[in-house]
Amino acid sequence: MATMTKEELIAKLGIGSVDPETQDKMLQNVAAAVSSRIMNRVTEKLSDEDLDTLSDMIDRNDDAGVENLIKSKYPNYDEFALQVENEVIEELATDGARLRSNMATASPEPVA
Amino acid sequence: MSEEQPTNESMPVNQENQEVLPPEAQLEAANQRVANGTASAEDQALVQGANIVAATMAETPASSEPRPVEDRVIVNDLYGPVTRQIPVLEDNVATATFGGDQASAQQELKTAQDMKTYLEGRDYTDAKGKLHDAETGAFKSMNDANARPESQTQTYESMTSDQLISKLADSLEHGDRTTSIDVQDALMEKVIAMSGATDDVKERLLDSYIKRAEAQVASTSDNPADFKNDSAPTEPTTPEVEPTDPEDAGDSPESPAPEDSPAGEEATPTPEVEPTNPEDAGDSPADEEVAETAPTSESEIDPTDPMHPGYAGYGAGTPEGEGVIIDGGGLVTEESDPTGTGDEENVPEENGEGEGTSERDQAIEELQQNIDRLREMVESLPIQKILAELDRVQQVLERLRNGESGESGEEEEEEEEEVEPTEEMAKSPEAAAAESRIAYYEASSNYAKAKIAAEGMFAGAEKKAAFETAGAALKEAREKWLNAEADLVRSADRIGEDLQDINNQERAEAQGMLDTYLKEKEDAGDDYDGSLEAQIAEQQATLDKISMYDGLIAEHIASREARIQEFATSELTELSKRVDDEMLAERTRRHPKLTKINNWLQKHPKTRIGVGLGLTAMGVVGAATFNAPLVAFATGAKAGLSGYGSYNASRGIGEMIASKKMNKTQLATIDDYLGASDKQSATRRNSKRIGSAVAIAMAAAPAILAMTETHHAASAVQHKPTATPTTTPAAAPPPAPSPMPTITPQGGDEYPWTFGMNNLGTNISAHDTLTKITNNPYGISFVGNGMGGGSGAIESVTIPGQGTFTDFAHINGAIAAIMGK
Repeated sequence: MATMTKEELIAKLGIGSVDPETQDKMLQNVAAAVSSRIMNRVTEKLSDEDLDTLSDMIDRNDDAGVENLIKSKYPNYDEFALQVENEVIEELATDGARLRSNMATASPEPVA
Repeated sequence: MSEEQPTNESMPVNQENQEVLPPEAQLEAANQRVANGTASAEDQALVQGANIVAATMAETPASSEPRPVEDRVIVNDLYGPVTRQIPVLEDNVATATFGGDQASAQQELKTAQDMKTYLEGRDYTDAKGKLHDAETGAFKSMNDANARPESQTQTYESMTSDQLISKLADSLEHGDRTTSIDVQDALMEKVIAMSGATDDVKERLLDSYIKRAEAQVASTSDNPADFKNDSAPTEPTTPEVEPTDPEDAGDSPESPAPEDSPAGEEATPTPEVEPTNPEDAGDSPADEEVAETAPTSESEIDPTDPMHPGYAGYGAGTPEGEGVIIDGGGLVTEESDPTGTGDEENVPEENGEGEGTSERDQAIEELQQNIDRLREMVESLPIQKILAELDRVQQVLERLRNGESGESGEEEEEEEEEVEPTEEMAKSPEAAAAESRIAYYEASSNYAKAKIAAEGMFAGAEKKAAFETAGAALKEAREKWLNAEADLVRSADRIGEDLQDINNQERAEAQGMLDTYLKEKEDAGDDYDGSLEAQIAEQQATLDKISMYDGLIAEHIASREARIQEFATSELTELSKRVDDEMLAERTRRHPKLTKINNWLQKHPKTRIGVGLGLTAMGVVGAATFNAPLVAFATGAKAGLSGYGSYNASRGIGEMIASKKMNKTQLATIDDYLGASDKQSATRRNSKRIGSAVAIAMAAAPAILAMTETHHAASAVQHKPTATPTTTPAAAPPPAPSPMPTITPQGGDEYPWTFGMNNLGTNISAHDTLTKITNNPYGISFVGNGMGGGSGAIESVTIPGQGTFTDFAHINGAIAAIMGK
């Protein structure tokens, strides 16, 4: 599953006219949304025993262990995360295009 | 004595001193009497019996080994009490040839044949209580045991939990996956039906059931070394296995108790001979009675084994008979117990006689174990963590509540006006957008809860249906929101055009007045006394301001595309994240340990767990969160929303426009338009609505922000149009009698007036407030055209001991310190 560049993402999301600083903030918000979606999916696979184990690992500052345990829930975690990321981006792009289209409909012409 | 009977001094005599003929002679005599029609009932019975014997002898091969016989009084419904000589059945060999040459009654022969067939086809248990196949003698699963006809009708639904647990244990022990799954499903259904228990409690209860089954498996052993599985397994030691009643022998797997035998049989039927379904063990009262009468065999069988005829289940001795689980502070009971009768029978005290004491002791011990286990479960509950999580969520709720209704207590101290929205307001796009947003929030919250509930292992059809309904409602709410926001943008975006119209009107008016003044001046010629200079200057200044407004408005309109893009994407991102965060919050509520994991992710934002490869490659790292960071994200999203207003802003615009106070035709000046917000109630100003409706609508555009600042800075003068500012930028600040407060630079991306409304809940351009800021006791001075009566925002702040700053962060920080916030 190919990844896109930042410019491609900005174009896909339809925020090319926004100033760069605002674009970066918006991309961070998108990343936060992706993160929420990923962790939502991951938590579906975490059993009570897994939570106990993760809790113990965190207490022991076993960061690598925490990461490995979570990633072990999927055969290819990176692919899974990328898939979720693309899913969120696609939703935002599709709905965004539609929303912008609706917003732009019958918008008044700039007054000279 | 009959004359026909020869007298034989050696022949025995009966009590009546009559000669007793040998059996053969008796039979012959009886035959003769039957032939003559003078036979008595006894004669008839004798003849019939003989005929049966003869027939039997013709059918049954003679036994190679003579069977011991004995007289047995047999109850014969047809013929009354009859004494017959029947073979004594002692072992399998005997049963194999039962019905041999000594059987003399048709009924008993039939019974014997039935018993033979029955016994030959029955699986049996050894002294250890283990089931053996009837043909091969090999160990056999209890589930595969021969079932009596009536027991086959017993379904899982009719079983108690203890019975299901035992059945599950047996299936696990023998690797019977199909039965294992079916029994687990039955246990789940039983737990689901429990009332008064939450899903968490039910889940733990089911888990405890499964663990009990596993414990049962672990406690028993199929190690062949422990048992003798020889070719000729030994039947339990019982003296006799004689059917004393055809019905008992043929129908009831359990041998009748002594009192059940009308003939007063001394035989003590053994439970081990009976069908070995564990589910039968606790059902019939006969089981208990049988157990009492067969202490020998019983002592060789583990009383806790379901095969034990006296097996009373795990819950024996408890009030309900079934295990009483106390979890999460709630008492969970089954709604129904189809085999409730069995529970009562399982109470050791009711069994009465016999070894009730040992059973009672074991039941007591089991109950104590249950109590200990329940105590451990309760003690293991993370009460403190639950309370801490509740406090945290309560705080989030309070923040959200304050965010909706107002900042904090200081706002509530201000007098609030109640302004009822007009009908036009309710119909306005702003109101519709606000309502659709709230509806979407509610739908996403309901969806999250329904989804999590439907994922539970105890989720029945009702919860799944509720999830589907919530999903449909969320989709509908999203569609409404999309349409409402689009309408809002289309309507709100006209503000730029409206302002342009107003600006044009003012320009025309100001230009007209200026032309008039200039004409008068020109006409006055040399007689001109200079009295019009002030008016001329005023109009020129007005025209300059209008030109500035033109630029700002044009900039605002030109940024429409960018604002639309930012708004649309930000809105959608927030709403998408909200649904996921709602679900995460719901999961965290059910599993508080997720909070720890969430916190860990926040401390490790660069972990590759929470972000996809694409965004990682771009260097975009968002804050990974589990719980609903709605407040945090809302703050960030607000920036994107400010172009077209949040709910609060929309409300302000809606009120302004719909109330017809400030529609295009009624606005005399753009200042009036911008000043409309000052006429809003304190409630609306202080409730997250960013003050001026127009400022809210155009806050994203820096140009319009500047225009707004200009207006509000100037409005401080307008309160006293003829008065000059009490302070001037050049005026020396009064001495600071108070210690300098801590000034924290903040709000660097907001104009001072906007910062004041957003964060301080204060219109800093209001006369009193402006006076307080200007005449602060700390010696902090502000510079800007607006402060001096002109137009423009605050340009700089001088803080004694720190220096002069022109950035908004220091200006806003100083204002906040002066205001004590």
